[in-house]
Amino acid sequence: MDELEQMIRQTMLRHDNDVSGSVSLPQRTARTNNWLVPAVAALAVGLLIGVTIIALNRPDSRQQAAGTGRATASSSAVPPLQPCPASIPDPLLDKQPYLPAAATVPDAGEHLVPRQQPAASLLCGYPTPVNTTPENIGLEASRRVTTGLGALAGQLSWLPPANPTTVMACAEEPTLQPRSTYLLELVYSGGATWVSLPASRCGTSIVNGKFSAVVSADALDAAAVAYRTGSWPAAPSQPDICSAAVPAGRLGQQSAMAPTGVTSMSICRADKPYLVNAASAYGPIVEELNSLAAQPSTETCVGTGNGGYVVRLDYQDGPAVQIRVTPGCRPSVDNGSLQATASARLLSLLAAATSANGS
Amino acid sequence: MDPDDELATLVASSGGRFLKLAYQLCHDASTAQDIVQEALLRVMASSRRADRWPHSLEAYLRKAIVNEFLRRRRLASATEIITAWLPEVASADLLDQQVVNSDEMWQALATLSSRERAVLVLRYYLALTDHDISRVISCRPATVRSLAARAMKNLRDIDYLSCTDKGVSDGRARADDSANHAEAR
Repeated sequence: MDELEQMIRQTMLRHDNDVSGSVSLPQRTARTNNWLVPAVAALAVGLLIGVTIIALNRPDSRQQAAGTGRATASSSAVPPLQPCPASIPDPLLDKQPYLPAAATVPDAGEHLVPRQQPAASLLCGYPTPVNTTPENIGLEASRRVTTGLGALAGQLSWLPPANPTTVMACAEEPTLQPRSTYLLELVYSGGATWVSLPASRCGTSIVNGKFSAVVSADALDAAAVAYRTGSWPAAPSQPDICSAAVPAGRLGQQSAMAPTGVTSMSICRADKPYLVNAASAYGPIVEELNSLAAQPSTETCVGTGNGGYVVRLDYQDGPAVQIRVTPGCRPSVDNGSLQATASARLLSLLAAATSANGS
Repeated sequence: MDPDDELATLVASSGGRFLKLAYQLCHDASTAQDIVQEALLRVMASSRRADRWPHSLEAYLRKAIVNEFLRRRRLASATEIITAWLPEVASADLLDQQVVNSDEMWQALATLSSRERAVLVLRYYLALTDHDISRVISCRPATVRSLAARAMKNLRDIDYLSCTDKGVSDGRARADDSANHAEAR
């Protein structure tokens, strides 16, 4: 032990008697600390709110906030929220995102979260350490999400599955842009689920243990806002398809280039960068898109990535599907989950739709 | 022995030591009490939830105290220096130089980041090995050594710990600046 080390130890020992006294074992029901009574009261209020939400959200008396969600067994009790884990394995070291428990909600393998509004929700924050890579990351704080639960369900339940064939050029360096990994706990009548929202938006996915969804930047941003405020924000408006923004997509687009249920269509033509409302022409175009031989998307193509069209298909419930048709690039059609080669008929229909409406 | 009885026995016999550990970490008596109470509650809650009791209750509680300190420091303001000890301007003629240096060292320890401070407390106050420290703060032993080395470097960089005639006021200004950068990490 060198001189500095000895001074450190002696200093600590010198201050060892600065504090004295005994420690009492906290009582579970008695008031022992300023924060214990509010914590117990908050828990009681939370349970009361949970029960009230269940009573008000019976399927036969209230419109589902997330659209066409189906009801779970309403006779089942809502499980209590479990506390956040004190730490999680560092996602940089552990390939599989950590989840405290398996999902017990129905159809957890078919969508990230149920379509219906949860009875209660808890967010756990684990900030990514900077310049170090510990094996575990400690819990920073937990936050009950008390408002915006309908927006939460609407945003997360429609996320399409992550595409393992996607080749993403990750420019983001996680350690230089510290963010937090969040665990989101949701409880419903008859079940519960945990969702892991990654700190990095590069090569990751949002998972519930049975379903892996694409990383939605909007969802991660919403989680960060909810962690700070306790309110899940409304989903941002759909980006202008004439801009370069690519949305997360819609559950179902992994099975069909243009999922069923289209209600309207908009087209942005690259050489005429304004939106064309082609609502009346969407039938043949949707049919032609779904006739193409599709394969899982790599979200890349070979050739010239400029020009062509961006097609947006809108639906009564849930987000739109955005499809890029780039004739100079192969594969030329891409909805984010599927790719295909554009047929001559498709290009002709798109040209006709935009020529008729645009000038 | 019933788990709650075992914990009660440990608290009755060693509660003071846990309080001192918390104080070494946070340098504030009332905060140390809060840390120990919160750690005890977490131990009680997690043990009941897991329906099992840790092999070494004392080590488990010590880990809970350190983690509670680290958790609180993350939530604290980046510019906050938690200390109940306010050094007075020292006169070298009236005070033993060794005491002055020790008080300056105590202040300097408060300027370290929470993880650096935890490592030094566990290493020099509790005399734990780096392997044991790694298990307490949940990181690799190499990270423990890295944190310790960085802490020692930070302490050596503080001028007033060397044998100079600089007054305490210079040291406090440097310590404040260091704290602002340390907790930003």
